[in-house]
Amino acid sequence: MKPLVTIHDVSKSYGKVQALQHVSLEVMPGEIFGIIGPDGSGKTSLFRMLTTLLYPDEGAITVNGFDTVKDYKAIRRCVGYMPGRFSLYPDLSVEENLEFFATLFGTTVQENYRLIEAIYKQIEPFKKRKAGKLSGGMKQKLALSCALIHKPVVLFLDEPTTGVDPVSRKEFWEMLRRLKQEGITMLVSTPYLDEIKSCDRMAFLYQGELKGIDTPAVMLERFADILCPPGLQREEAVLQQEYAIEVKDLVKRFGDFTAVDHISFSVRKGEIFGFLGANGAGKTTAMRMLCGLSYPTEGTGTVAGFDINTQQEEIKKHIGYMSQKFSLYDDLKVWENIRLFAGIYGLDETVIRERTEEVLKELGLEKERDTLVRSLPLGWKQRLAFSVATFHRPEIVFLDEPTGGVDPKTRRQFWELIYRAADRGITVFVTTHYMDEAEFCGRVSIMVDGCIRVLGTPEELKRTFGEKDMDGVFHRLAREATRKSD
Amino acid sequence: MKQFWAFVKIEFYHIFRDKRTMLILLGMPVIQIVLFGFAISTELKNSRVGVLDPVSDRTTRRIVERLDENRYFDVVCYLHDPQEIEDAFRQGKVDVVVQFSPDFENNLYHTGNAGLQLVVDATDPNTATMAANYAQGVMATALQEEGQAQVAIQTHLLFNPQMKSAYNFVPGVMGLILMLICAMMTAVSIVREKETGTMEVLLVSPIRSVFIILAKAVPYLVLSGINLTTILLLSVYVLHVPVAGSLLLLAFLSFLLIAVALALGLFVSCLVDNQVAAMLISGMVLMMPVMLLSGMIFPTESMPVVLLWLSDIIPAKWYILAVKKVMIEGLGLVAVWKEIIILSVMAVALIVLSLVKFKDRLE
Amino acid sequence: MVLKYLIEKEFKQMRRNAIIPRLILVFPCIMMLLMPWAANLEIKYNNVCVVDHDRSMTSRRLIEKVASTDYFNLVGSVSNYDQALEEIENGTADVILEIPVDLEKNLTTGMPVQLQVSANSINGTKGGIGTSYLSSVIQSFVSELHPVESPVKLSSLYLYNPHLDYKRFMVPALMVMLLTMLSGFLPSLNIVSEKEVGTIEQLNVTPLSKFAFILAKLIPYWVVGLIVISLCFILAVLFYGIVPVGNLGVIYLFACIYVVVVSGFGLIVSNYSSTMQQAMFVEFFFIIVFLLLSGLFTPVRSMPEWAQWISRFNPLTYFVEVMRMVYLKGSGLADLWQQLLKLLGFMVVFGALAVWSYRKTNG
Repeated sequence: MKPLVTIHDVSKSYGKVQALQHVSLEVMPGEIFGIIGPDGSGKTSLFRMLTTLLYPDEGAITVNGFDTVKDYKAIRRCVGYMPGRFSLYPDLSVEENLEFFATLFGTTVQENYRLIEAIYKQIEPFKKRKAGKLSGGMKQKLALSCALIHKPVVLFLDEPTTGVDPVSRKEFWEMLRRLKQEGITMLVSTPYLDEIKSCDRMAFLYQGELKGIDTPAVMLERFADILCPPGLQREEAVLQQEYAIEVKDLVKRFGDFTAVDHISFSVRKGEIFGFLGANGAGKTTAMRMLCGLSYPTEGTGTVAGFDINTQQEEIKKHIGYMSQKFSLYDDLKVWENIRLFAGIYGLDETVIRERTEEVLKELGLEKERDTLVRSLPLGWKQRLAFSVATFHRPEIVFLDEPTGGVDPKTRRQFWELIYRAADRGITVFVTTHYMDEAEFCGRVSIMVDGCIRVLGTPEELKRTFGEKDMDGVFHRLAREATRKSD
Repeated sequence: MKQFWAFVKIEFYHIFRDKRTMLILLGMPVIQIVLFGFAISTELKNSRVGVLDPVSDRTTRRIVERLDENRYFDVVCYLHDPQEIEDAFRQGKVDVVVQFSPDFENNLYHTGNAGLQLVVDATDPNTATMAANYAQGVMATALQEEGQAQVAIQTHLLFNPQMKSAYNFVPGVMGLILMLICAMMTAVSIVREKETGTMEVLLVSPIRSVFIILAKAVPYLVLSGINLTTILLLSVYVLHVPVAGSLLLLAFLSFLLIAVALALGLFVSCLVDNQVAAMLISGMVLMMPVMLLSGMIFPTESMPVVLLWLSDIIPAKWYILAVKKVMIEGLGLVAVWKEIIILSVMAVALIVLSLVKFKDRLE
Repeated sequence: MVLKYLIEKEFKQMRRNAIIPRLILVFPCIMMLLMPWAANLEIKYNNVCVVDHDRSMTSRRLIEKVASTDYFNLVGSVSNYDQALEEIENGTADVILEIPVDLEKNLTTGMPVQLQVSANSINGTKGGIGTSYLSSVIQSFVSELHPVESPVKLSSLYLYNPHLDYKRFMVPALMVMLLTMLSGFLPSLNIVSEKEVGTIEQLNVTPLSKFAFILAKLIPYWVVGLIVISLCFILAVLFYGIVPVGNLGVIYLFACIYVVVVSGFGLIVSNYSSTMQQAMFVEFFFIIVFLLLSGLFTPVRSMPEWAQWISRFNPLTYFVEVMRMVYLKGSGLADLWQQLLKLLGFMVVFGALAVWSYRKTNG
């Protein structure tokens, strides 16, 4: 059998930065081929060359027998591509986006509906909503549907499930396997271990070099230190009696839609509290109310001892916040970002200078202090964002999906930071879609359809539901959901 | 073809959903026509007159009265000392000061040595010239009222009997609006796709890049059509500026300018990669020369040669020239062939240039 | 103290922007170099076509007198009005002077005489100035014929701009325009771009006060404004030798206040917009209306009542007034306290609105 995709001795550099060096690989028809590697390993550059968006500096690439440089038009007719960032029209509705992409590729939604049914039926109830108003995970699902709708010969998926909840990821991969039976070849990059395992073969890229190609089982063993680092161990922290967060009957409505429906819970000082839920269950909405970014419709609560209805500005003095977008300033240098946010929280010039050194050392970013944040790898940005959010030693830090899109080793490093912060007495309130991370939390709650369905330590929950890991617990609960979106 | 229309459709959605922008795009020509038509005028009106009349007598009073009766002048204050003149001007209280020599009447009838000086604030040279000329006329008439027969000068203002500047600006507004909508919107809408990342997917799709560009053009073409219609309707029914020539020819000329503008917008979008830059470049670097050098507000004939050369490369200038001929003077195709050729060459050259520059890859 | 860090950040971002620093330096240079030449409502020549029915000594002398002025240029003498009209339609002539039969006879016998002046007034200003000037030339010709009858020495004195140089009039206004565009557009894109990128969220969750936030956004544009205006001063001297008559300090004082007014307005627009495109168009709309109704191009007093009323709520009106008064007339603070109070009022209102319209916590 002839390979469908061949990459022969390809190199690519941007100015002085070498993105890829002498990479060669072949993908057979019908394969699900994983392109795995930490952030900055050159995956996205490879995808862009495969999809004819970039020229290789050296070497040659063929897709479906066509050369990416000479016959790029032929390639564009037979491939599907889902880039790493959202590629939707924010002012078009869900339905319109899908129809547009279907027509663009010369097909209709009806024709290939069954291909995307599993994913799309979850967002279908909200097909009239504008794509820009969807939550991150929902956008991802829509983007997937758009990339799949035309049933291409080869499908390129650059981290398609970042920010998607475990249940939907599972459904997505079931979908990929169905596509495989239809004869579609797929090249996928992903940071999730369970997804890596679902690939037929995988290539491991590290700093632009190809380290090996083999089945996931072999590769995971060979590169275990990066791909499956050992779990974290933490001694049971001594919790204080006081509450950092107390919420009673919190409700948030948008029009006649109840996003958060009477939730009540409390978090003790020094606790690491995992706030789980499927995409659109209402996590982000709830968190925004706790941070003083939006007003609750009903209900009462205190954060760090201040009322969430009336004392938002007081709350903001005592918390740190890190959102999905890693809202650092791209056009500022590392130290400048630290200095800016420290300054906003009113820290003293000398304190800022001392602590900046400490933080840079802790993060291992001493050499990067003068680098623009724009050019940092994602994992480093995330850790920097976390350090910025905790720089002023807040009582509570809110983390909204802080580790989306990075490899297991980087995520583990991130959690080491969280533990260190918790050891210093900072209460951590975190949302995540990684169920291994849920196990790292002291207690977790799982939200379903705007309500908190269960709350307890991971051990308690696993025992109650008789599951061996949090993944199982989550799937059990999330399947109950009737509402499929935010 | 289906792909093409799908594209056109989303581009329409995009415009219609941003209510505020659409309101401004459709309202801009209306506001401009209203402002230019009714608010902006260089006609002399209510010029404020100060009088310095050391010895008020019958003759001087009559002269001042005549001046005050005139619709161009309002006597607003009486000064008592030559020193006050300077102050009055500096405080911006008066525009013209009429200064009589002492003992005016006596000198007028006996010594023949009466002096009358008009002091004009010439910061605005045009207004100053007009004010001085009118005032002199009024005063000369007043002086001769009881004298012998005089020379009457009858003035005719041709083509534009009410001195309406509409004849001058309607073509200008048309040119500006077309440039604004087509060039700026195209540039911004393409650059936005680059910024949001949708361009990446579009490029990988089988649609040809020519269609991407054409699809961007269609909605703005329609919008420009609506705007042109509004402008023409307003100018005919509100400003009473008739369309003397062929509507078809006018439409054809507009279409040519739209093509040039679209190509320009496309060209800008090839040069920049973020919306702010696209807007600043098309807003400031494209718009300002159009407003200044196209003859829309300022006549091109009083420009120095170098600027005239420069204004020759501005498409809107040729468009405005041609529209004036067709719309106001009612001339036909023969009169505007030169403009048509120039615009066509510009359109073709720019389209070719931007199609060559338009990258169907990311590099 | 928080301000220091925020302002530092704004400056760094501005400096690293690919286009803004260049725009701030290059745009004023280009505009100062081009605009005073282009934005010229000064009418150089009027081409006169004469229809002389009298063909007498007097009529020839009148024609000679007209031709000898710098202002008129004799292009032809034809035998009837229709031919002259043709000259105008072809664009070779701007004004027709029609001299009646018996001009000489009637003038000497004291019978009434009627001359006719017709001007092409598609360009209203040109037509108006042409006819008024031609009339005054004829008037003075007639009075020269009868020196005894007019014992009054009528003279005009043009203050502040004795050579009636239009550039002197436009340069101060141009500075206002540059200041308005640069410190108006840039802030209007600022907050909304943070919204689009998402960094605003991170700021909203900090205890940063709204006042400090807005102030930190204003101050950089304030500095930009001062750079721009200083650059303009230098360019005005270098290119045109125009030095302010009044105190430079007064201009800076007003500029400082004015920049806060326009930047504040830009920030308000930014606060209410959800996309950069929207912000740009809304700002564009207001700037055009502000500019046209400010008296920058045409005198406010020539506008109809309603437009004058609007222009009273337009900060540009006052700043244009101030710039021209200080630059050309040398007015001082004592003359300008009214404008000072009004601009201060605008500053407070727009500043407060900018703070108020920024929302840290949403619905």
